[in-house]
Amino acid sequence: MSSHIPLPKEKHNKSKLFVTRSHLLSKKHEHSKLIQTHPFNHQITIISQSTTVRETLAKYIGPYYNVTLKLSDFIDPAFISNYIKRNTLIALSSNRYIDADDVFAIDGQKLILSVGKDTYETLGLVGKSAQFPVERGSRFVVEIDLLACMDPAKKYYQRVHNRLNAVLNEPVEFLVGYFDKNTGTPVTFDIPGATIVTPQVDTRSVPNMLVPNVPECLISTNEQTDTWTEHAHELFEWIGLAASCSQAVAGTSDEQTSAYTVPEPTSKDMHVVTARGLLSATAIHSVINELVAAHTEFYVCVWGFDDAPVSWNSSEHNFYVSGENMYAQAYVPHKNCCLSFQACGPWDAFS
Amino acid sequence: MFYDLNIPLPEAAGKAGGHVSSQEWAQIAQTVEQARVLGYSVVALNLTLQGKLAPEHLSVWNTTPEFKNAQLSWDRATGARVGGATRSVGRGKICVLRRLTAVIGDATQGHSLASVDGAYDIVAVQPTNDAMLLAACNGTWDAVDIVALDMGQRWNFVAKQKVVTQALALGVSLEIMYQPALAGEKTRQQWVSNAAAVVRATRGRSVIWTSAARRALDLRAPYDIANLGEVLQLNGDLSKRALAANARAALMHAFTRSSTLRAVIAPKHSAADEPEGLAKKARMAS
Repeated sequence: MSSHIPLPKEKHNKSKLFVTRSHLLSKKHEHSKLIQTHPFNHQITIISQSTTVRETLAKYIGPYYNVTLKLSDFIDPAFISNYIKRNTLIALSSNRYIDADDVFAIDGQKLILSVGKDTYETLGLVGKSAQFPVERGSRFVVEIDLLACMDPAKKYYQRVHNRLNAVLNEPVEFLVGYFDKNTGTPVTFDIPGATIVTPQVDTRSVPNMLVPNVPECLISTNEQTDTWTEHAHELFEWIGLAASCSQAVAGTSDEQTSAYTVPEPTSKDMHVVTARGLLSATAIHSVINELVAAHTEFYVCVWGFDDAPVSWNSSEHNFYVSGENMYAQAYVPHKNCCLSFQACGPWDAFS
Repeated sequence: MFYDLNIPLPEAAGKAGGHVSSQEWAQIAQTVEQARVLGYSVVALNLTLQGKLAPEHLSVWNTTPEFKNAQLSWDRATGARVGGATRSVGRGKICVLRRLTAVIGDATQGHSLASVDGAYDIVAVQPTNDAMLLAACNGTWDAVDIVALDMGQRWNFVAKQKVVTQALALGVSLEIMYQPALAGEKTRQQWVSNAAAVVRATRGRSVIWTSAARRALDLRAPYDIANLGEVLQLNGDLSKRALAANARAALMHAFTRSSTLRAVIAPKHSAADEPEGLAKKARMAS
């Protein structure tokens, strides 16, 4: 096209991958913080030689619930004292798209309302303009701290209650997970009308899987040379292929159709265990701690909900043409090392 | 919310004495249902007419059937518009609006659009020459919300940035319909050229994507349209805006123009006039 005047450059159009190396005995616990600050998870895959991963998962990962509630039910003082204050409650509105609908969520402490312009203008609650979409003023986020401000005698509670009943008064379907604060194990959520859902757990055994040796330069240094970056990309790529049990890593792919080769492969019998559902971050952390204690190398992938309003550290999240907010970790316990890969979509404030 | 502000009625409906047969309505209903399944929340049924607008053009809507999972912006019995500016409907439902597109070859035809005021949710003009494009963009006619250009045909005018900028300043949107991009080879070539010209002239602002889909198979999902925009150097953000925020802005422009007094006061029907209010009145009176 001649005489083409370029359009304004797009600021947020690239997905990002953050690679972190952390020491398992370090006080910073970066690998743990990454897990515990990511509340909305829907799938975990563990690739390991251990045959007891499924049992370890079953110990911590348990049922969640489908329930239809009004938003004003969540700010009810009885609900807050019986559920929010006692354990960790995670809730996400189901069948709602973050870039098209109003999405509601609870991350354990706050009720997050990610609403469109029309809803916000009639809602009457103070929020802030969402960072995404990039054009300000088309989406707004209202956060209500359920632990701090919900005293029925106070005007703020009455205002919130009135506005939710007046504007957002239709019942909403939620996925609700109710978990023990310390271990992340599921606790009974005895709200009337709640339907219990058991996470789906699949196990696949892949004999003679080609497993790469984690390069020494990735374990020993943080210096981002070209070689370091290349090795990190290769490892991340392998973890993704292994999590999907690709033929390329099973050693059964045809050379005519796949040019992929595993870097420095070793043949091992591996097991790929996948659990799907609403998964607690604390439970995932507990599972990983147990696997680390077993002192075998293993790899973890965790995927967050595409339509969750927040990702890591309550960073705003939205859906561009993808809504990825996933992370993968490679644990090398005998060297006390963990390599973490955080993949953020273009519209994610964490990046 | 995603909007598709152009699901056309049959061409014959735009002629004097034209009507839509029940088979054609069934096809339109199928298209609307497909739009709902694909994720659109608001669609507009578009009546395209040549020449001056006459009152009998409104009679086309008298035979509107009931659409499944849809909420119409007009009363099927009386034809009167209902509802406010915002078109939020219940979950799983789609809002159906009425749109008028006038193909304008003569300046006097544009002035007849003022008589439409209030009957249609959105009014668009399709200019056929340079002078009409200038008239559509510079505010000569008050009742214009969208400037529609035939994307599948070679234009006998040039969409200059100077002219188009006047439309953008007035809040008038420019439409890119993607149905010609799914047609034959020559039509596709022409579509790329025309659509790129619109994007160049507007720099991606105030552009709205519409389908102009005559059947359900011609519809595409919003994210597919966002990918199609990459061909025109409309990045994903601008494409999604063209399907959502810009289309909403066009609707608000139409509402402000037709239903408010100087964009300050909008009449609201009292609760007493709504069906529940009338029933309550009757109960209290008895």
